[in-house]
Formats: sequence, structure tokens, C-alpha cells
Amino acid sequence: MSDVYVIGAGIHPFGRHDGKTGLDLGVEATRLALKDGGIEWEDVQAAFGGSSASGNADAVLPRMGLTGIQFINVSNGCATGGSSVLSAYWAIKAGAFDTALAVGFDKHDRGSFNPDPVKYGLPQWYGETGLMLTTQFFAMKIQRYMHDYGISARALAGVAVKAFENGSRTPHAWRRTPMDVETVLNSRMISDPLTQYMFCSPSEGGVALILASEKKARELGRTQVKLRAAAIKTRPENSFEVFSPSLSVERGETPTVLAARAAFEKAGLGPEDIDIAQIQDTESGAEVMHMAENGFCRDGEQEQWIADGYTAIGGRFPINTDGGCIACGEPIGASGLRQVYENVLQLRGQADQRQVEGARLAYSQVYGAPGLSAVAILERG
Amino acid sequence: MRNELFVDDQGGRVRIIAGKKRGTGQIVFPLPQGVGEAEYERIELPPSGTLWTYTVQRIPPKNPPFVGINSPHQYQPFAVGYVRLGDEAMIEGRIAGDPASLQIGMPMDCVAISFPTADGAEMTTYAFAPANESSNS
Repeated sequence: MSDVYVIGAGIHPFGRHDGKTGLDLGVEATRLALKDGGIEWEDVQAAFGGSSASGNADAVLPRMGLTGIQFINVSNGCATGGSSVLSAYWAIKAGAFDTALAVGFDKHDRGSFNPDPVKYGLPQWYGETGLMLTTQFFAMKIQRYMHDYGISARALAGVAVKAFENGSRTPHAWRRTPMDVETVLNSRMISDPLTQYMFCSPSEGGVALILASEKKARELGRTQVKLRAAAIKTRPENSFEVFSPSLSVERGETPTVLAARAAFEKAGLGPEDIDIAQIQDTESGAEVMHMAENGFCRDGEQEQWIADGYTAIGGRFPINTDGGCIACGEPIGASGLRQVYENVLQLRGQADQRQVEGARLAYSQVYGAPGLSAVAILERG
Repeated sequence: MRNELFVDDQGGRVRIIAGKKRGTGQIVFPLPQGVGEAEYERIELPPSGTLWTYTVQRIPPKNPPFVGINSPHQYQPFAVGYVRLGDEAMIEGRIAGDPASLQIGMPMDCVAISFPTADGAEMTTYAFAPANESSNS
């Protein structure tokens, strides 16, 4: 099986872009990725793409050129972007194609998502009575975690402060103004213990990545970034997941724990080998818990890590170097691809003001409803 | 409610109806309906338990799917949580009363509540309430 390389990466900045459709953002990102990869659209052999609110991702085809290319629309909740990357990875790994595009874009309405219970196999009363909100789940999961492992509200605020600091250094980020701990703590309470500035917001953006086989990457002289492993896992029994009217009394492993383990096994690496990570920070609590679920620290160690700035740029283990979802917002189809895009820039040494010196192995993880996680591990070539 | 979610119990409490999977004993709520429902036995969960986790829905949920009053000036925030009912299961639901009194581990009762809907009707559902609060009412 061929090794897989990320040869091109393009992004349309995240945020709010009046006058542009979601599709526009995806097309722009695709053009940038092609240019970055030094290939023409006609050279792309397969494509995987996703959009949640902006139609079928396959709508990029008439704009890019109807070459007859295999295009598969991907839909996997907030992990859609990670799922597109994984699909492109396997298409090349299997030897079926030498080049593949993974693209994602979205343009969401303001305010929280309002999913339809029926689409998740749930009865209507679940939504009618006011339980169909991802924000409630995130709040309840971190509330229990804080109780069990002694994480403080100040640590949650610290995650957001770091996100806005990193966002201020990132051209593609949406929220680029640094904020202090008190401002985050005193902002409007949304879902206790999470305040307004601890949450990411639905936003707009587009990302495209061009993946290639080793043969093609060498031919093009673009072997700087290798995709060492990618994995997706769905929720096992006894995991506490979003949109669950009932849970078992035993708590078990989560889809993130499983996906991390699978990706590390495939790569022949462990958490201690990783230099930087982009992990799902739907809100501050998710970043805290995902630090442990991905294996980077033990449950409860986050309090000290955050207080000591370990996860900041310049710290021992930088996390969400572009400000993550908290600073970039979340266009569902593009969000997981943004993580990989950021890691590509970091490994190439092109991250400018937010560059982490000497990063060699970069990790990304995105979580999606109703309980799945997608992990990708990149290595500097 | 279209499906039976709970039955009345003594002292103003209710018992939530769940499904117990034959063979494995796994408990799921609500009681599964449709394909595969024969694999589940209908059971009534204990009418009280302890609070496992909670939050407060401070901002109005969108309609749809929420049917309660969600206009910014009239919206009443409500708490939501998981209550562990015996050794059987943890059930998610709304929590009646003042959210400020909530603490993980506190005893809770299963109760029925009604709330006004945006179209002027009422919706009844199961909920939880701190144990002393529901026995006083």
C-alpha cells in the first residue's frame, strides 16, 4: 500500500462573509489547494466532500470543471471534514488513485444548531421538551468531569483565553481579539458551567486538501507532509454521548479514546511522540476532556497544564495553535479539515506568528454528533 | 404525549417506563418501539435516585423542535440533568425548581411537569425534582 502525502492545502478564512455562498468558500479553497499542490483540476482523480448547511459538496464540480471525476458527498456530523480526509486517505492508500481532493465548506445561521430528533432516531418529544441541544450535552459532560477530577471554571476560561490569543495570530481565524480570564468568566452564562466565550459558534468557511500517493508526491517534489495514519471510531457501549435519553450506569471508553488508539497503532506511535495537536474544542470543556481522551495527559492533570501554559504556543505541548473552533467558529463541513490544514502549515514551517518551532508530528481529532471521532496524524517528511 | 413515558406512583411521584433487553438486561429509555421492540421487556424504573450531572438551559432553544415559549422576554430558563435511578440506568430529563439549589449527588424524585407551549397549549412530561422539594408539594 502506498504512503499518503498532503501535497496541497487551501483555506477560505472562517467567520462571516456576506455576499458569498458556502459553495463560493469551498470553490475558493479548492483553487488555493490546487495552486499550493502544483497540480491542475484535471489531475485530480477522486474527491470527497461535505457540507451540512450549504447543499451537496459535489456542487463544486460545475465550478471547477466537469471532468467526470469520482465525487462522494460525505456527511458525518461535526466530524464530516475528518471523514472526508479519511476517505481520501484510504482511496490513495488502497492504490486506487494517485491524487484525491478532500473539501468541505459551510455557512450556518447564527445561534445554536437545532437538529431534528427524527434524524437521530429519537422521538419528537425529546426536542419538543427542550432536550435536543448539543450545548446541554457539552455542559453536562464537563460538569460531571469537573466534579470527578477537580477542574475549575478558571481552567475552562484559560482554554478560551489561549484560543483567542492564538486566533489573534491566525489570518484564517474569525475571532482575533485577545481576551482576559475575567472577561471570559463574566460573559453571559449559556449552559452552566460554560459561558458565551467558552463556546465556539457556528460560522462560515471552506477548506480543501490535496492528497497524493508517494509516487505522485515525489514526482511533484511535494513530500513535506506525510499522512501517517487516520482513523474514525463510533461510540461504544457505556460512553456518555450527545442526544442520549438514557445512559448505562457504568462509564466506559469514548469514541475519541478508540479513534486515538486506532490511529496511534496504525502509525506505530504513542501520545508522547506528538509535538502539537488540534483537538475538538466545541467549547472549553471539550478541549479539556479531549486532552485526556486522546492520551496526552491523565484525567485531572489539565488543571495544572493550563495554569502553567503547557498548551499555549511556546508551551510544552501546544494545542489548537490556530485558535481552534473557539476562535475560528465551526462551519461543519470544513472544521475537521481546518485542523489538518493548520497542521500542514505548522509542519512546513509556514505558520508565521503562531509557528511552533521544530514540530515534526502533528495530531488532529474532531468529534461529531451523535458520537464519533476522527483522528489524523501528520509527519514532517 | 403520544407514547407512554411514565406512570403515576405514590406521593406525587412517577415511574419512568423503560425497556429491558431480554438476554443482556441492558436498560434503554424510552421503551423501543417498532422493529426489534419484542426484544425488550417493559419495566418501570425506581421513582427516585441521585443527580449525576446537570446544566441550565439559559438561552431559549429554537422552535422547531422546542415547543415551549422561547421569545427572549418570556422565556424561563430550566435545568436539565441525568438522574441515576437505582442500579438500573441514568435518565436524562428536565429538572423542576430553582437550578441554584442543584448539586451533583443530591437525591431526586421523578415527577410530572407541565409547561406552556408557544401556541397557547400545555405539554406534560416527566421531570426530576430535588427529593425534599417534591415531597413538600
